[in-house]
Amino acid sequence: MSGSEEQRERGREEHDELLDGLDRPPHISDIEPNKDEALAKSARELKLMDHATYVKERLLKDLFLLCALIAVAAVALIFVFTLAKSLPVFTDIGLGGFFSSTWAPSEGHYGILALLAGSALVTVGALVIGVPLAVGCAVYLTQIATRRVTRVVSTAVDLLAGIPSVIYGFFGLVVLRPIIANASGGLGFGALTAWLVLAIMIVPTITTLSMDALNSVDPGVREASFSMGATRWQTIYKVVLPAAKVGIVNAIVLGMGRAIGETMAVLMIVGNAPVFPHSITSPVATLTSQIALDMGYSSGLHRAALFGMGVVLYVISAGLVGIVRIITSRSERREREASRPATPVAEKDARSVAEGPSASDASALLAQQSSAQLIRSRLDNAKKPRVSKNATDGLMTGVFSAAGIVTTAILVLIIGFVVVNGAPQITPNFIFGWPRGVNAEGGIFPTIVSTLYVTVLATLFATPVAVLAAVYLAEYAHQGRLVNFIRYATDTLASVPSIVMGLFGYAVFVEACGFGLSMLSAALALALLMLPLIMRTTEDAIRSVPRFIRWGAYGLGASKWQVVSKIVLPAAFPRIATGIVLAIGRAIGETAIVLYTMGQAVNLPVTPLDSGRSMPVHLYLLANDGINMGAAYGTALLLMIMILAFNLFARHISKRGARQKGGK
Amino acid sequence: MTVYRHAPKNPQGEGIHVEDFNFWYGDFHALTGVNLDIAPRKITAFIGPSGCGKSTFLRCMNRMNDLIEGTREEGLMSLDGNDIYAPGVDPVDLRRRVGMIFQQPNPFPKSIYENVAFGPRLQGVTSKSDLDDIVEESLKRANLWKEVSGQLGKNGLALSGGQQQRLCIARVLAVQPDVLLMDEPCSAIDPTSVQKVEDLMAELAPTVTIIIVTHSMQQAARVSDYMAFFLQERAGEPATLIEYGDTKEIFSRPRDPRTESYITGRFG
Repeated sequence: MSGSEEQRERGREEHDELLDGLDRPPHISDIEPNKDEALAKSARELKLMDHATYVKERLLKDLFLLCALIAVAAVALIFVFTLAKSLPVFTDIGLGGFFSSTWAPSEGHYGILALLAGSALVTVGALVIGVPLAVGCAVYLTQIATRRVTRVVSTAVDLLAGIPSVIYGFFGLVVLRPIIANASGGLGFGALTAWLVLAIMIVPTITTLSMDALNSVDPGVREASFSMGATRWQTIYKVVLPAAKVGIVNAIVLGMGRAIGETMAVLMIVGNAPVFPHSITSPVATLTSQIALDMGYSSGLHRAALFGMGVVLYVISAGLVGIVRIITSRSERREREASRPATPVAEKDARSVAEGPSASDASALLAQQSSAQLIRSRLDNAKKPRVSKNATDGLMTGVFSAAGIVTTAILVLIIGFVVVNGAPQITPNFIFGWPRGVNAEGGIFPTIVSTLYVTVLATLFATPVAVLAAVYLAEYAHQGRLVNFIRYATDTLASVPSIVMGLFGYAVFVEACGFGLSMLSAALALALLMLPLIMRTTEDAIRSVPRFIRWGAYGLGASKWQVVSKIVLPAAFPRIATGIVLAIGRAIGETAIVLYTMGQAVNLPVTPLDSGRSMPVHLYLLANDGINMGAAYGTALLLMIMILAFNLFARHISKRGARQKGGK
Repeated sequence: MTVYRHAPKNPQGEGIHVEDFNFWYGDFHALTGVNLDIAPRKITAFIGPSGCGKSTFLRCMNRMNDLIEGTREEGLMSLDGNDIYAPGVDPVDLRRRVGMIFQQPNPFPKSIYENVAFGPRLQGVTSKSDLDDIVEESLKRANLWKEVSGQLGKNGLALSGGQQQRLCIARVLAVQPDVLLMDEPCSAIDPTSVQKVEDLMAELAPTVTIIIVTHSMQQAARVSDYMAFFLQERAGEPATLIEYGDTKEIFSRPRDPRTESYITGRFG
């Protein structure tokens, strides 16, 4: 009899003893003697994994890896294709000609320096205005504001992030441009207008990421600072901001990427004069605006030069993402080294004479008293600050609060502007009618259908790949070089300016694949935009599922796929859904990508190969033509309502998820 | 009613005096009718089961609860005869005089030197030699000097948990507080380090008033001169002070049956 059988036997005897005196129930072995033996046997031998399960788990893993590699392939393809299309820049124009100052395609001059200067000027100005506003707003929301105010203002910031750039451009064109024109005497097109608009546009990016950084500062450290008599400003300035420094710098770099890559808003307000900027109110052009402007009619060397500009933009954004990664990994390494140094500080039991031989000894008391006296006398040497601590604190609190108020006011202003002007336009005929005349009269029904059509298609393409790729990264992959590389690739993909994706989409889907200007081409290009957004949020969502929940499932004998599909994904679902919905919001409002992939002719799409005109493109064209501003306002309002609805829906999902997790 | 026995007398009005103190988190009435006097330069322990309001009460003593939204208090709490909740009182200055040590050691992610120099710098000490003196003496008082004297430039996070807690004590001592509040200072560090922190408390007691919140009755018995037992009798109702007095007496002859059942282990 083996050990386990003995134990079973003993257990049964004890069990029987307990039942002594009671009417003894029939024991299982009395009825089926063989079954007991079978049980004992299965307890001895470990079952081998059956082949089908093994193959299934393995295939699933490979499928997930494939999805992850698609993201990498997209990044590589975009670069290679754009580079290939720009080859004539190197062979025919030459780098010297490309990096010269005259941009005059009709005369054979393809120098981009003036455009680079325009991009730099616009970006730097936007950062100078936007960064203090955004960081101040983040500090206000995380350190100063009451919870209710934080909730309201951070919703405002999220909504600002959701508003499509074509609406910002429209706002800049109709509201800011006339004001600046009046003040400066010019037309109001130029860098100054772009600064203001871009500053507003980068605020949400920088604020949200800075808030993450500020919130991840250990609250204990904050409390420690307060408990030593630091004012709020001293705590923010000396403890919280230094601790969040890396995250805030990263936020600013990413905001900078956003500003450099922004196309539509800039296109509508910089004036599009490809010359070196001579004043901040004179028309200029940027790399992105020039691509969007020339794309439609360019050919030959001119076309190659545009792709060359795409390569430049691509390299800039990949470089910025690289910088962020280097900063982050360096600071993580430094933190690790600081908390686990090569030579830890040894603990010692023996006390020095100065520290007193023991707690009870009178000399310890004496040492304590003399130390205390010395400290007191040194503290007495402290200088009185020129401005009282409390005055500084009050002033700085006011400055930060102002940043929060300004941000909210801007949102209210933009939304108010669109709603007040657009609301009278919204009639059943406007929504369900067909455009008339030069497309500026009548309704906008085909553009609504086109927009929804392409968005649904893009979501269908992007979501499965993105979610499965994220599952691979978070659950299956060895956290090594490959995963790091895939993450770098997705981050890059997320920061590639959308006009570059538009270029790529045009070259690959419209021309090379022969899909023409169509829903399909636009949806594929938009899927590239959505892919990294969904991947990132899904991966974060999966990672935030606590490990012990997984261990619990493994402990019950679940296979990897069972754990992922039954435990992890359901737990992460609210955040994944939020990510998808937000990505959909981005896709609806995207203009630069669809401009040259879907076409611009008004058409009611039926098959995926039909072309059409999306709402953002319609708005852009209406605003530029200026024939019927009423229709532009109406389109802007409908577009905004759709996107804000998606954003609010996303917030609702994530809030409900958080409530369910709270268990109450 | 609270059972008092040999409540410490403060003829000069020194120490902390609390009269009919109530505290609310929003709508939730957390503490009611607390009356007690804390003896200056002694160690007082607050004990009681989880959620009995002892940490809340401790945080009222340097107005850390001001940092939480929607809190409200009623009644009198005074330090050396001055009402700390009187209008116009600067909580920032109060916190300098009433320092606090937390459950989780929380050194700033800066060097050991900068951690200790943080408080004095806030107060406007700029001379390098003054700061050097303060850092050295504070670390000596916290029994950490010998371990770190050659490596003041190291990051505070490089220390072990117990060392970090003593660094936090040194950091508070550097602003010369009159009172030291300790919120379960030993619950996140290893047993050897607990011994060191307890020794240190005994050494500091003759020069600083110490109030410690602890879950461990053994610790309360080992370190404290006086003891206060808090209890929330029913969920949703405010907690209050049940019994207060000399530690040894409470442990040997608790007068309130609820105190007795807690120290013999019937409550959480």
